[in-house]
Amino acid sequence: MSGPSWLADVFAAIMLAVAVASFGRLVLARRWSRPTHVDIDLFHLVMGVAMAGMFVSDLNGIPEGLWEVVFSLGAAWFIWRCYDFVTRHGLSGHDEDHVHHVSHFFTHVVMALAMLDMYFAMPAPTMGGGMSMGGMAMGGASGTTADFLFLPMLFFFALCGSAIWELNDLDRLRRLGVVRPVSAVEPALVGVGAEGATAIPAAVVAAEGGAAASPTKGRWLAPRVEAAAHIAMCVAMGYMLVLMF
Amino acid sequence: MTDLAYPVHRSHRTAPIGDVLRRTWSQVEVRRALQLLLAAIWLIDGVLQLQAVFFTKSFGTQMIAPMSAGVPGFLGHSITWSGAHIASDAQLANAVFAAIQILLGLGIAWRPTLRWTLLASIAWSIGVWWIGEGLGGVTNGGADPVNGAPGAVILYALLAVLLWPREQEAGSTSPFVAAMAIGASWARALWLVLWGSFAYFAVAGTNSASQGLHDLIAGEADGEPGWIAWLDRNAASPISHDGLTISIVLAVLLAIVALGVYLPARYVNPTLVLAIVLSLAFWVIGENFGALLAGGATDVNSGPLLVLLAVAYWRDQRQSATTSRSSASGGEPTLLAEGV
Repeated sequence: MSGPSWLADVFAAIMLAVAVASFGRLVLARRWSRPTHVDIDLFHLVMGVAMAGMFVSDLNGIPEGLWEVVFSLGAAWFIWRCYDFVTRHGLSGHDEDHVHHVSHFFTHVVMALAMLDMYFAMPAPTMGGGMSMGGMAMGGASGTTADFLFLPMLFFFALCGSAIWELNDLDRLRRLGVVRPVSAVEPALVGVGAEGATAIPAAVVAAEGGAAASPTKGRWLAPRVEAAAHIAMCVAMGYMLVLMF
Repeated sequence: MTDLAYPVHRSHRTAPIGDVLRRTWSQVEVRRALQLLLAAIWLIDGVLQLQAVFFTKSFGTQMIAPMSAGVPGFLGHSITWSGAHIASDAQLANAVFAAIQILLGLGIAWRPTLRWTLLASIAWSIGVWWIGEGLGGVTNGGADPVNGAPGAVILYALLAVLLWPREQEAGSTSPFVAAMAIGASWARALWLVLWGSFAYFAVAGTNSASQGLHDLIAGEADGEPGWIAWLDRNAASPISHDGLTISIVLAVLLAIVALGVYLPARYVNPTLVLAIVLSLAFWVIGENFGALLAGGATDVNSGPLLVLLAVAYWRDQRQSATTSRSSASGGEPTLLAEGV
């Protein structure tokens, strides 16, 4: 069982748009010295390309097996990010200028594992071949195969929940987007090379009266664009997982 | 790495998640959480609607049209007519259906569109309950709460009403979240009608036949993964030939749940726990997790929605205690305040 090819084309186009937007964010964040989560944007870029290739395999120019390595590394990275976040802030922790909670990193673990699950579930001939999702033998599990669908179902629920969570958070993200600019003397806290800074988050600096270096410097780069990319990706991946049922 | 505003300072380190769970949630927060869960379920339904089988003619001819069997004339005609039209352009029809449900989920989650989307969800739910579920078997005697009757989709409408974001007057509180929108009396009445109908349907028609419940549960195993089919068979086996007894016991339990919201405050939550246990039992055994793993499911079925409903009626004992203290000091008597 597989979905209609036009729907796969639509989702592929959305995923490519997500990839382009994520690439744009990476470039603009560097050029304008605006803070962002590089790893998350990079992951969205990679996932956008990979998922477009899953929907329309003509778009998949990556050698077979490479995506599995990429998403294994991605899963490992975000597991570390979860661990790191929890050790710093606790399970329920967050900071005023912190865009994400630990759940966001955890969702990326789920995404990476879901991608791995789908790559391993797909028969080899469809990987990197010339078939679109309209012909992708990805769904209609039955018999013993269906016994292993509980995990994809959990991934599916988690991704739908994450999309809703992110949408509910848009107001908070909008406020992050208009946070007051940081002090000119504190760019390292939010710009390149901030690792190891001991520091005070940009918003705190701003709240304490830091002088503005520029109207935008220090503001999170379009957090709602990242949220929209995340939501689109959750829905698209949910669709791919549903095709496995 | 410009992962920059990933803050290094530790001064904002917070308490473990247990403290979050133990903290007092305001009624508005609980209502919002329930709205988000409802949104997530709509989104899940919308994505499920994108399964390939729904883009074929059989969606109209084999899934919608058969719902007209045994239902009264006008209702049956409207279902048959809809099934034929859906089948005539199944791709377009299903794309629209899926898009609507996905947008309902996203619209409820996004605060600016919450009210309009809840309103739209009520209209959509009633339409789907009519056309897509033939009113959940209520009119043809096919309803059984064990397998999700009278239809999950009508519960979406009920939740949309009970979770309506009505502003409360400053200082006023409701005895439970579901009462915030329409008042405690109406909320209790809706609960009574819903669970009372479950109690009735549990013993109605063939549901109380000696093999009725056994056949219903055993029949659910077809097409399910092995472990779910095993659950069904092992749940059905002990109740073979005991259908009447089990149905009566079930009806009594459901009636207790139905009347539970009218009990004094301290007895309400135990009946809600019973409601949650029954809902989950139905969801696992009778509904097979909404038959999601069998392929072709359009929703998660009624189990999770009934749990959300029960949470919306949950009494905050601390708040009840506050009300009691208030009445002891000369305020309005507790029982009256609680509407018992």
